Amino acid sequence: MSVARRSREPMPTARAIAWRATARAAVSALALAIAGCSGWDISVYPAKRGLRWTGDATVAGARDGTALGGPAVRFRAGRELAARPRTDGGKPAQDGAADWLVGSWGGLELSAAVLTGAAAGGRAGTLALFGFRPWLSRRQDDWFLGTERISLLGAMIPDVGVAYGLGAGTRFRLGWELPLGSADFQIVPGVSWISPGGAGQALGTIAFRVPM
Amino acid sequence: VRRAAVAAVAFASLQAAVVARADPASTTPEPLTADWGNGAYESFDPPAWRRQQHVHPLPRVWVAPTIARLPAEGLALAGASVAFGFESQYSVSPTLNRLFYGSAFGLEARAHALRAFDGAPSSWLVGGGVALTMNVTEHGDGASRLRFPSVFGLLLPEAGVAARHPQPTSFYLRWSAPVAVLVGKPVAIELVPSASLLYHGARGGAEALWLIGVAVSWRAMGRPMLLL
Repeated sequence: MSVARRSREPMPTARAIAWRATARAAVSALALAIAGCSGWDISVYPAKRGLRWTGDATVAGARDGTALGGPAVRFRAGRELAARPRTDGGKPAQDGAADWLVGSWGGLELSAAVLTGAAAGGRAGTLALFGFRPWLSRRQDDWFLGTERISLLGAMIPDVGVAYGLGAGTRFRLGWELPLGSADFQIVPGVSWISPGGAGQALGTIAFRVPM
Repeated sequence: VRRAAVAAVAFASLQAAVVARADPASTTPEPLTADWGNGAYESFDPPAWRRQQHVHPLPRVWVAPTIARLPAEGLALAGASVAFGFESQYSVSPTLNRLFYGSAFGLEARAHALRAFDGAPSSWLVGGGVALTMNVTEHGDGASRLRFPSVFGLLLPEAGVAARHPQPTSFYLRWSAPVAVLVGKPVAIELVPSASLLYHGARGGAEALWLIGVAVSWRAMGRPMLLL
């Protein structure tokens, strides 16, 4: 059967075979070029790994008048995906294109926040946020969770979780944030999209973060 | 006899030198930021928050006569709060991290009992909860009697359940800003302003309860010798 079925498939032409081979070579060359430009060490090496937590003082607001504030914590476990090469002088090399686009540290981040304040209608209320996200970062010099070293893909991956409270029960939530600042202090603007696809609500947040 | 006398004097001098060498506290004061192990912390004066054995969780208890106001129901209440917990001292740097997170971290179980004395005399509230404490005790030269909450400690609420009469039992969150001054090595006087939100369950909404108390607290200065 299989021989008969295969015999009915059109044979690829030489031109198609050439195109496929060229495309594969181009993708491979591009990947190697990015890796090479970034200075990735693709040899076998002992990867760094670790676990860290940090705390945020967070304020949040929405267009319906909701104004909330409170603490947030993040627990992060990760490992080095690509070793950081050294220059001839022994200093860490500059980040390359792959670091900026993808990142060279990866892991998982769990987050939780309890925000209290005025909900829509002027009544007091509390909103609890829980989430997790795959985490990607550019290379770290030493302790691996300098959250300001974001990569493009790492910043685009949303925090996925639930929001509970304000009299609306449990709702699905997506969140994004952009850590800005130094290794000592960061201001982190972000947005939470609560109930996406339904009666969605956007909650803007600003967090003040002191990496621990 | 002369030889014996010379030998005795020499032995006594040597012994005195050895004793003085083995007891550096008698000649050189300890730095205030040292690791206060082996009971050394007990010999210092005046009292300071950092003069407590570091790192190990040490028991702590406080009692606070409290007055409160429940504006939504026009009630004024009076009663007391008690707490028992464990707290550990750490050295945290730089200063920004210390002010944000604190240098003394603890876990406390707290209980509150309040009864209305103005508004509706039959109203009362009895609640219990747990709280993480994060306070700043390391500032100046380390000899300060003052302790105040860190930024993150201010934000972290106590979570618990309050039985109320005539209202139904409710979940509550309580934020407090205790400022404490040591009056003895283990004893402090604390001013404890706080605000609670008493929640109405699934339908949402909450009532604010404002409280202020003056507490007397006691802390252990070090682990008992049996546990060292």
